Amino acid sequence: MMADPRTETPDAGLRVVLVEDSVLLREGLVRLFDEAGYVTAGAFGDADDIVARVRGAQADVAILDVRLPPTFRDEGIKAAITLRAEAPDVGILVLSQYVEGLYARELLAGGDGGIGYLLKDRVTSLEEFTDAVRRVREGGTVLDPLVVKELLAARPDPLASLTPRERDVLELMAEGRSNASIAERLFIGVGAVEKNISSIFAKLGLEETGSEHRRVLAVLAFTQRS
Amino acid sequence: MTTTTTDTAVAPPQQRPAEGFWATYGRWWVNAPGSALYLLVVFVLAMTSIGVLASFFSTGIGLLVLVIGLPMVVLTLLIARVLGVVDRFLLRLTGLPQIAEPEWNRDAPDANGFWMTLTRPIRNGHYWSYLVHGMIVNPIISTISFALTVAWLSVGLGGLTYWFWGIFLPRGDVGRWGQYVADFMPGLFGGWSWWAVEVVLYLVAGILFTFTLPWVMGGLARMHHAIAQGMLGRWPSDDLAAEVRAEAAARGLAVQAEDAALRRLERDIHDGPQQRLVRLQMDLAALQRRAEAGDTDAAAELAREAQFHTKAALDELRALSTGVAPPLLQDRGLGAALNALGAATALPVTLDIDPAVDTVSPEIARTIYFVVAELLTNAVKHSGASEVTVRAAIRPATPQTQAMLDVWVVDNGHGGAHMSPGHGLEGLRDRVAGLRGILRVESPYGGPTTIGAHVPLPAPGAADTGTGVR
Repeated sequence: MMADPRTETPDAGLRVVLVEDSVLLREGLVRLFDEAGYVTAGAFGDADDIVARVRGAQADVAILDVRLPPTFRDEGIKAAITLRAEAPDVGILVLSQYVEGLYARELLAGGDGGIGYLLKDRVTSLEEFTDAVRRVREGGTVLDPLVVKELLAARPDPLASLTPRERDVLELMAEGRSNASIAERLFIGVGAVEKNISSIFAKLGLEETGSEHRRVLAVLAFTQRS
Repeated sequence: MTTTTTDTAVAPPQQRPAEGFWATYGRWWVNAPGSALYLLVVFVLAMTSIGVLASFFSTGIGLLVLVIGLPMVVLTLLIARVLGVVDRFLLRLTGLPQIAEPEWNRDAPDANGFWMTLTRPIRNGHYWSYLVHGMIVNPIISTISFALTVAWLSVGLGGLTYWFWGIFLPRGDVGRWGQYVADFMPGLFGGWSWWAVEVVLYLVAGILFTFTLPWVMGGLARMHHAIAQGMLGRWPSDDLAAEVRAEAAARGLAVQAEDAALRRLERDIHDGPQQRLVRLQMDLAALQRRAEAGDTDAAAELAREAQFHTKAALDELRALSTGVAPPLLQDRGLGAALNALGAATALPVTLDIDPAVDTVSPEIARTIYFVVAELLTNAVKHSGASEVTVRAAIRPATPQTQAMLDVWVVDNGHGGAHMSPGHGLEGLRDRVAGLRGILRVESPYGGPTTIGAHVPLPAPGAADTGTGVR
């Protein structure tokens, strides 16, 4: 496929390792990487020796499926956590057919950003996908909107005090987005976003924390409080 | 359902009762009055039985050529059952171990037609055994034991008190049998008065009979008990029959629940993703035509629509597969799945999950997961509760009972939940019954509501469920 100027991304040349057991999806994803201008440094069907493979491929980002051989349970989550501990400089993006709040917590607890957890559906949008890869590459956090919605749905009472706008901001914040990104998405100014965020933190009794990753963790902790 | 009574009732005998002749003898005496009462009463019962059963049975047999004889025979068998049950009940007077109820229905659970129901007593050996016992065996042994009981009681008690009541006997010249004895055995009773001889002999006989009374009463009671145990009690094959029936009933319920779930799934697939894919195929074909015609704007529009339908189909499939088998349950086991359920509930849920619940079989885990999910949904929707507690624990097997998985969902709402036909709780009960478990609902008006699901866990390896019942 010809490199179309429209799809040329600032991350051209990014080295990616892919772990996905379905050949069909592996081929599709590799084609998508080509389109985004990434270099596929390795594509594997299982997560064995993940650290050595990622190191050997000199990868910037590892993209993992959750259900992998041999048991097809949560091998991808375990591999991601190992990789996070052994190779903190590599961005990790976990893709799955379904998303679980528990897995989100486990993944995010392991480190200080540079990790993402998305539904596989999201990769159909090249823009959304490259945005997620860029964020985990830069040490940010990416959480699927569906996980965020599920987690927040369990806490209707405290959330009832939020205005609809604050609710939107909270969801985007929980997805790991920066203030600028939230502002762009909601078509409001960065200042307005900051005002909404401090109001949310005050209403929910959360502590104002610096990084975007810390903010996601604070929201996750909030959803678990009872 | 947490019955601890069985544990204490059959506890191993830790302090054995004192040994020695007099201690044992004393224990025989304890049961002697009850046994004597039983032996007297059972004679009346046996005489009634032989009269009723013999006349009914012979009438029934005689009328067998006419159709009316068949229900007559069945009626006889039912009467025999009632009389036998009364006998078993009376046997409790003797202080001997209770005789287990036989399995009255050994048919398949679905054999409920008119003729099957009518002829059920005829096809069950227990009824005939009761009939033989009530009509032949019991009258014979009861007559013997009645005679012996009356003899022992009258000689024993009468002999001991002859010195008192003998005074009041009217006597002519021939009435003084003590005189003859004294004359016949002058070496022993030389010079004794006839009265003294009578009193002493009666007293000796009274002491002998009274002393042996508990053994005779106990022995006769044991004979009745042993015969009743064999003829009126449970047979070893009954446990197997009961097991087979329970298994078949559980399988029936499980199949029903499974069938309903599969039909719903089929309909959901048909209404959801299948329609989406058909539409997608149409859109893609249209897209191809537009692209070949060079109409890029229309092609891009169709591609956007195709993407939308793909995404919707994926969402629907994800919801469906989560409904069939929640991923977390598959990946991490029941404990993690229940925890996630609690976290996803729109009420504060306190969870107390025994880590050992992860060892239950996949079918049990799946059913329990859905039952708890449904109960939590009910609590949120209908109970008006402000908090819910979910507890799950494994109750280990004891020599008498199987290991059980106990799950409770307790809410502090206004109560009033009950099983009614077509109601959600009934469906849940069927699902639990499909695992041979039970669902217990306690929900008084004003609350709180406690719902417990209790599922037996098959013993690992050995199939000794049959012995576990007794």
